[in-house]
Order: sequence, then C-alpha cells, then structure tokens
Amino acid sequence: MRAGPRGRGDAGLSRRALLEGALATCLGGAGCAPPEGLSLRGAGATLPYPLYARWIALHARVAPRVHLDYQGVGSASGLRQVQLGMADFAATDAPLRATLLDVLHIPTAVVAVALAHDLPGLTGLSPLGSPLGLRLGPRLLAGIFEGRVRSWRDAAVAADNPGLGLPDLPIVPVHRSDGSGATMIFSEWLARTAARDGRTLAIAPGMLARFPSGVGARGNDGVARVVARLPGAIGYVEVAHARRADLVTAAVSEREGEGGAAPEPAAIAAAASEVADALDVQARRQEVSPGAYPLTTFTYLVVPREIPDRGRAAALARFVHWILGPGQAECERLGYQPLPPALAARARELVARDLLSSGSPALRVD
Amino acid sequence: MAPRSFRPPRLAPPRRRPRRVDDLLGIASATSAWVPGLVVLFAGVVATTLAWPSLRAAPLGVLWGDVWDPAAGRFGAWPMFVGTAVTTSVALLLAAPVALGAALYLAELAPVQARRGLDVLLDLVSAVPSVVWGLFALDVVLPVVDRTFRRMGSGGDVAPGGFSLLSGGIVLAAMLVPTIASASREVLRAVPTAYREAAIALGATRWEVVRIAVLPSAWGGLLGALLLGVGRALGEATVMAMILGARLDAPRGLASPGYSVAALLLDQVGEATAVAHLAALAHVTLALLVVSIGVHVAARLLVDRAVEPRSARVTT
Repeated sequence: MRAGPRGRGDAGLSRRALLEGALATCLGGAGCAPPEGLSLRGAGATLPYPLYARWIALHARVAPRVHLDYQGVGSASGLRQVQLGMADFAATDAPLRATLLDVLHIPTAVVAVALAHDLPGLTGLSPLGSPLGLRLGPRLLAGIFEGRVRSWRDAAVAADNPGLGLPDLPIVPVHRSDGSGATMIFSEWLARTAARDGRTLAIAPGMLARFPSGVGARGNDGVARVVARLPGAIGYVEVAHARRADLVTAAVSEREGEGGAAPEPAAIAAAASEVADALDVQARRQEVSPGAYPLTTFTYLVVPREIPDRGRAAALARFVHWILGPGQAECERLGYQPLPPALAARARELVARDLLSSGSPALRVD
Repeated sequence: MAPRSFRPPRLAPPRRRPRRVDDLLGIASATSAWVPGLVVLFAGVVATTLAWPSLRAAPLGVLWGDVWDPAAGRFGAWPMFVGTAVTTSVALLLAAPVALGAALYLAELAPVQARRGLDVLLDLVSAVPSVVWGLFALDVVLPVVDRTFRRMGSGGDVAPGGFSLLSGGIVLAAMLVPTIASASREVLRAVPTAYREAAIALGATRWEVVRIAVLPSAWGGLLGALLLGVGRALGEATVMAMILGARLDAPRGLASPGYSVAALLLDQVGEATAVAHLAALAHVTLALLVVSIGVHVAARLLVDRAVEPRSARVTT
C-alpha cells in the first residue's frame, strides 16, 4: 500500500482515494508504485465531466505515479477552489473574464449545445438518414424561450418549418435551473443574434440566465429526462448527453431563413474551425457560416500561470499537454469533438511556453 | 438467640480513576451539548459575513424584490419565499393528520404484534434519502398530477409535466409523514401509563382515554414533532429542485411551477461568481435560518403557554 511523503500536506486525500489510486496503479501494470506519488485535483464545470473522467483514467496508464481527480462542482466553485489552493486546475465552458489569480485558459475540446424536443405526431418529409427534427431560427428560438410563442401550431413555427405537420400541443421550454455552460452558450447566442437583427431580448445572457417561462431542471440529464417524457417540451442539452439519451435534436440556423445545421460532428467541427482565435478568450464569438452548427464553443481547462511546486507544475503540464495530443482521440468516442488540429498545436505551444514554475516552463522541469 | 450483628458489606475504597472518568465524561458531554448551538452560531456568522454587502445595501431588499436575475444583477427572492411557504403549508396540511393518526394507532391502539412490524416499517421509511423521494416523485407523482390537470381540461402553463407547487407539497408531505409520525409516536408513548389506568378506572372508553388522559399531556410534544417536520420542509432542497419546475416568477397558484429558497440555493451557489450574487444568496440563507429559528421559538412559547395551566390543574 502507498504510504510516505507526498507532494504537499494534502488534506483532501481520503483513504478511499488512496486505495483507489493504489488499485489503479496495480491494474495499470506498473506494479505497486514507488512511495513518491503525486495527487492533482481538478474541479469545475459539469458539462465536460465525462471527458475529464476518461482522460484521467487513460492518463493513469501513461503516468501511473500521478493521481488525478476531477469533480464536477460548477465552474465558479472550481475556480474558487483553485484560488484557495484546494484544487490544482479548474474547468469551464465560459472563459472567466476577471479573476484574482493570473490564470491560463487552455481549450481542451469542442462542445456544442443541442435543442432537443419531443413532438409526437410530427409529420412531413424527413431528411435522409436522420430522425425528423425541427428547424429553428434565432427569432423563433428567442420567442419560444421568452414564452411568447406558446403553441407548436403557432405561425412562427410553421414559418421556419414549411411543409411540416405540427402537433397541437403547448410548447414547454425546458431550461437548466443550475448554473451551466450550456445556458451560457445558448443565452449568449440568443443575445448576439438578437442584437445583430435589432430585436430586443427579455433574457439577460449568463450562466444563470433567467428564463421567464417553462420549467427548469438540474443538469443535462435532468433536462434530457424532462424533454423525453413531456410531449411538447423543448430544451437545450449538451450534444453528447442528448445523443446518449437518444433525443431528437433540431437543426439551428444562424440567420433567419437559412436551412440551418443539425448538431452533427461535421457541422460542429466546421463551426469550431471558423473561430479565428480560441486562445484569445476575450474575443467575441462571431457568426458561423451556413452549414456550420451555431451553438458551438470550446471547453477550457483553467490553471494558474505560475505553480511554485516544481513537481506538481511539471505533472500538470504533462497532463494538459497529453490531453492536447493523444487525449484528443477520446473526444469523439464520448460524443464531443476534438479541437481543430492547428488549434491543438497552438494550445500545446501555449502550455509549453506559459505554464511556469518559478519562472521557467513547467513542461521542461524534471 | 442473640441477633447476629449486621456486618456491612465491604466497600472498595473510593478510587480516583472512576471519578476522573466521570469528570471527563461530564466535560465531553457538556461540550457535545454546546456543539450544535455553536455550529448554528458559526453558520449564522459566516452567512452574515458573506451577506454583508447585500445587508448593508438594503437589509430587506433581497427578501421583498420579486425579480431574481443574476445575469442582470437583480436579486429579489420573494417568489422563492412564497414557494417555500406554500409547499411547506400544503405538506403540513396533508401530512399532519396522517402522521398523527399513524402515531396514535402505533402508540395506543395497535395490537402488540402489529406494532412491532409497523414500528420497523416506519423507521425504515424515515431513513429513505431525499434523492429516492425525488425519483419517486418524477416517476409517480408528476405524471399523476399532469394527467389529472389535463383531464380537467387545462393545458399549457398549468403544471406542465406535473411540475408545480402542488406536486412539491404532495411529495414533501409523503416525506414528512414518517418524520412526524415516529416523533409523535415517541411522545405518546412517553405519557405515563398511570394516566391511562386512571382514566380506565373511571370507566373511560378507548377514545376517551386518548382524549382525556393522553393528548392533554402530549400536546407540547406533538407540536414539537410537527415543528420537526416544518424544519425538514423548509430545508428540503434536493427534491424541491427536482420537481417544482424552477420557475423564478412569483407563482400564480398551486398549479403553477415555482421554486423554493433551499432549491434556489442548491442550484445557484455553484456558479455564483459575482460578489453581489454570492451576497444575495448568503442573505437569503440567513433569512431562512432566522425564519426556522423564529418558527421554533414561537412554537416553544405557544407550547409552554398551552401546557402550564394544565399541569397546574393536575397538581391541585
């Protein structure tokens, strides 16, 4: 069993974590590890949780001495833990604008938000090979989530979906009640398109945007569950979760009158590759071209720029570097999209250059 | 025959160690007795510190305002307080008669063999975790409420999918019944048997025994049991976050989706980045703490006033 000195006075390492760590090490084929191991804690957004869990499990095979752990506690909580020194890295889907600590935002994967709906009796021509879904433009989506468009028989719905037989059901918009990156992505897109088209929007964008109608549910799974059970419901769900729950998702168009794109891997990847500079987190999101899926963004790993402990800094830098390299292959398996290769390369450069320990690049420290 | 002289049994000389153990036990138990109070005090201090920006700006602003929109920097939790009050009241109205009836049956009326089984069952049910209740609610209560309202011909925004304050109250009631019932059962069983025997000796029927001998001396305790339920209802976050529908607007009736204070805290504290937001949440927490303490103190006073004249009559 593991005992002896570890990286720091880590109060957070429970006996169970130790046992699991030891077990993982043994199973990893390295034999029970030498006593000096290192444990790194991450905390933050729930949206990329499955990704980090998988990355951590796989990274243990590459670096059996480093014990990683990630908890989906919400991005604000995660950052607070990093600032208090309780966690080594955080994760967020919305870049944090003002932070007390000097932090690096490193994009790790492409994520997208789907609009899932449950419309029994939806009839009409289906595009080949995909389940029948709606087409939704920004004005219609704003109307639905503001509570102005209340029935699926509303003329506004028919206008975006010519030739589709719509059921006579009330619309129940379903939003996230807990703070989330999905809400951020969706509400910011609503706000951006409304501002562009000169419309006013009754929803202030944010992680905890206030939706004046419908019902709220906790977590992607919560929204997916409500949508799956409530005829007439429409809700925004992270794409991987929507796919896992086998929900019908709508095509979303960036501009009025366009055909829109379904949240398929190619359309999401196209949207990600159009972002000019994902490393510049202050930059505003721009429009996507037709054929690209609009509700697409990056999920970021957040680390302090300077980590005094050389061992920890090096281990963390290697983990992040690994995510941006071999780790990217896991994204697609879990329903996310990998970073565009050029962006992944630039993010690796960023880690190699700017993640420091006592002023020198942490990746080079041994 | 000379009486054999009485020899007192030899007592061991007093040892020091047991007394030290006694002292230690005394100190330890006294400390433990203080811990809950100190914890509440500490929680209050922490909440006040966090809430300070909001308290200083407007001591009651967060409580009266009716728009809660963190993205726009507006914090008014009135609809959530209404939601908490409504769900708690509905739950108590539904749960109290059932729970008191169950307690009465278990303590006074049930045959001994039935008692044992039912006691175990009640204790088991009161140990069911909130999340299980929440899933039960999603799978059973919400569909039933939804279908009922739809059969009544309402659609659209009336309890969409069953999400409503009414559903919240019903589920909360189901959760409170075991809590209130097991506490009330203990209260009733604590009533001295002599009271019952006295009543029986006077020719009282079973119900009369309960009415004149048991209930009068148990009122205070029964109210305490109800308060235990109120406390649980006020603080229940998990289930409320799952089934109220998380609507931030002021509820327009029992069938309207709503929110509760505890559910709001659970939902929002993880992503509260802005200082004002965190302060508002702490402010609301503080208010919830004050309300629950207030409820308990008020009820204590009521109970004491109701119990005293009775006990005076018993002694004369």
